[in-house]
Amino acid sequence: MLEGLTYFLQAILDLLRFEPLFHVAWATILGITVGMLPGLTATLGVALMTTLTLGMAPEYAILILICMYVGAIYGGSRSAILLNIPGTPASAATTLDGFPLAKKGLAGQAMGIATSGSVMGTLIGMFFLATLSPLLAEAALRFQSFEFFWLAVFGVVICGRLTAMGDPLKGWISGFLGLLVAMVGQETIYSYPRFSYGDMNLAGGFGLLPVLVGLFGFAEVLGVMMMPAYNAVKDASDSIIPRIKDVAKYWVTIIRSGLIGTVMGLIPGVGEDMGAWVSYAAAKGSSKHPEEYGKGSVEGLMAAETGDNAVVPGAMIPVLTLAIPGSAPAAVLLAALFIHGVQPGPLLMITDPSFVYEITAMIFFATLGILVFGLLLTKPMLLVLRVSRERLMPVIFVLCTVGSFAIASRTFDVWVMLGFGVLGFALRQLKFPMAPLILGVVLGPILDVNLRRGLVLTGGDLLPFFTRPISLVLWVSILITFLLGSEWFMGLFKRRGSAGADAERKSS
Amino acid sequence: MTSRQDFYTALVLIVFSGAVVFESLRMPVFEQRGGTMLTAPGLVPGALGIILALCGLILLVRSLLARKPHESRNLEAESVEEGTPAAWSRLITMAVLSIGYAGGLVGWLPFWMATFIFVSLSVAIFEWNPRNPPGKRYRLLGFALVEGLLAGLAVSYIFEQIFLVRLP
Repeated sequence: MLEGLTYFLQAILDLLRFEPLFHVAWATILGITVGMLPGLTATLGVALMTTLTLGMAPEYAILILICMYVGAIYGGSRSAILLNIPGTPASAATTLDGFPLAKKGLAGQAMGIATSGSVMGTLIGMFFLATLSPLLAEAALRFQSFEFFWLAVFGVVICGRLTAMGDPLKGWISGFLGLLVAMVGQETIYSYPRFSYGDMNLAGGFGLLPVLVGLFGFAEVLGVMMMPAYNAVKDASDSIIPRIKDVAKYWVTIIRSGLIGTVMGLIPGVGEDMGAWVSYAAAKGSSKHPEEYGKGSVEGLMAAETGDNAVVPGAMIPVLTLAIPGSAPAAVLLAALFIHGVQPGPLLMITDPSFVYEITAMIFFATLGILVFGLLLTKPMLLVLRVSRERLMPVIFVLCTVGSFAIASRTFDVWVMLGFGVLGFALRQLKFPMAPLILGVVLGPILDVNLRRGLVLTGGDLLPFFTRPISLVLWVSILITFLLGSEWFMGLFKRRGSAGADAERKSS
Repeated sequence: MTSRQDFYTALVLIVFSGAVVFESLRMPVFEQRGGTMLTAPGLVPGALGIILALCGLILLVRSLLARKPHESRNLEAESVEEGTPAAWSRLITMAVLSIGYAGGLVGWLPFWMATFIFVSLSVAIFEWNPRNPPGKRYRLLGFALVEGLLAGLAVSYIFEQIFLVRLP
């Protein structure tokens, strides 16, 4: 613990120089701007920034990506409050109380509450990132192929279940499609090019970043162009500086939402939007004034913003300890870590024990960034929201094209971006969630190689996949998730329940 | 409406999954290198194909049984409102311009020029209103050209000169 604190303080001191602080400043401001603009998500922002920072020193590149991530998740609250349109999906719950507050002429106060909630949420998540990561990494050292296989399946199943709450089947289809996408190209055991048909580009597989830029960039550009134009920005003339009493009064909500957000971040692929929704629901459930929710509740706004921002450090925990992303932007960060020569996973705490604390320190500076720039640059940043989508989207698409090409300098990747953009747009129209698809693409190789390696180790015996203790917990969790998401299974209980109630009514 | 969409989606999914299973079965087992069915490259894609086909089948049955449109809440991406003709027209125009730019102009023309043409054309087309007075229309065209030129030059300069990234 003391060693961790030393690493953390050392990392803070290392970042207290002009160049890192300069990167923190511009990357956080850019992140907030990206988050504010409807149609630009944190995932796309981090993906495009990964391309931009390819040639930079790894420590600066990772710092910039983290500032972009934290800034974008926070920035989404601005458009949620002022336009009633979440700038990123993470801020969807923020619209419920943020916009009613703005309509009452309290836009400044709402932005102040969103800022304080975001800062507190990130700090809580940061604490758990620093304390839980070493423990989880140690536990993960016991993982073998069997456990990694189930972890990959668990990630896709739970992500599919949670991100498509009303229709888990579509979440699972999306996740399995993602796994299938990852099967294209050379596999690792025999180097056999699957689904390639002699094409060298297909044999190399689909790059994660072009797929992501297509699904979150081009698909979003098409979606935004189809939407009706958003209205002019409201004026925020009241004070934005958050009142201490607002923060102190809701300390229970803040801690609860911070914890929920961290847990949501820990679950593979689930992400910031679920962190916000679950925190919001929990706060409403335990509130003394649930009737105020949806009409401008300060507590509701605080819960949503604390919850979604706590996911950011939470999502970094599985990235660093298991090499499994906790959210879609974290999937890009994971890819960026590999690009910059960092090998996340259970061994990271042994090979580079200070790295987790360096990431924690970077998140800390990004948090300071959103606090300072979120409060100081309110008025100039509102100007960004005045840019019409007709003028903005073509430029965004240019960035998508450059972003997908520059990673490997392959024209093929531009076509991949276009293809997945059209596919992503169609799937969104059909109400398939995107997060499981992305998680599937990331987890596909892990699932494939660990299943086959495990079967080689056991000589084809499936039993160890089901009997080893961690595997047992994982597959039972998967089964329960499937059953809870199955209409047929849940219908059995509902029918039995209603039949029982009918019987009771008749007997009485 | 949604159950009909689900019906067709399920059909596409079943056909696609069938093709995946067929292709997976055609993959070699590498017996000469000690491989078995359990280590074959086609094992995982084949299994995924079967699972996706089952999911498609459930979606198909569900869409057939649905008496009313199935309500599904997707928290990540709220559905775009039902397409009006104007919305569809904007969508198709954007798709054609984007694919034309990324798949045609880029690589054929210098990057800044391709970007200049794409951005200028997009802004001019989307903001064009024939009911506007001529002066306003000329101003719009001027603005579109300036934005296109700035975008082309700025993106090229920032990516190539500052961040040392290769452009298409």
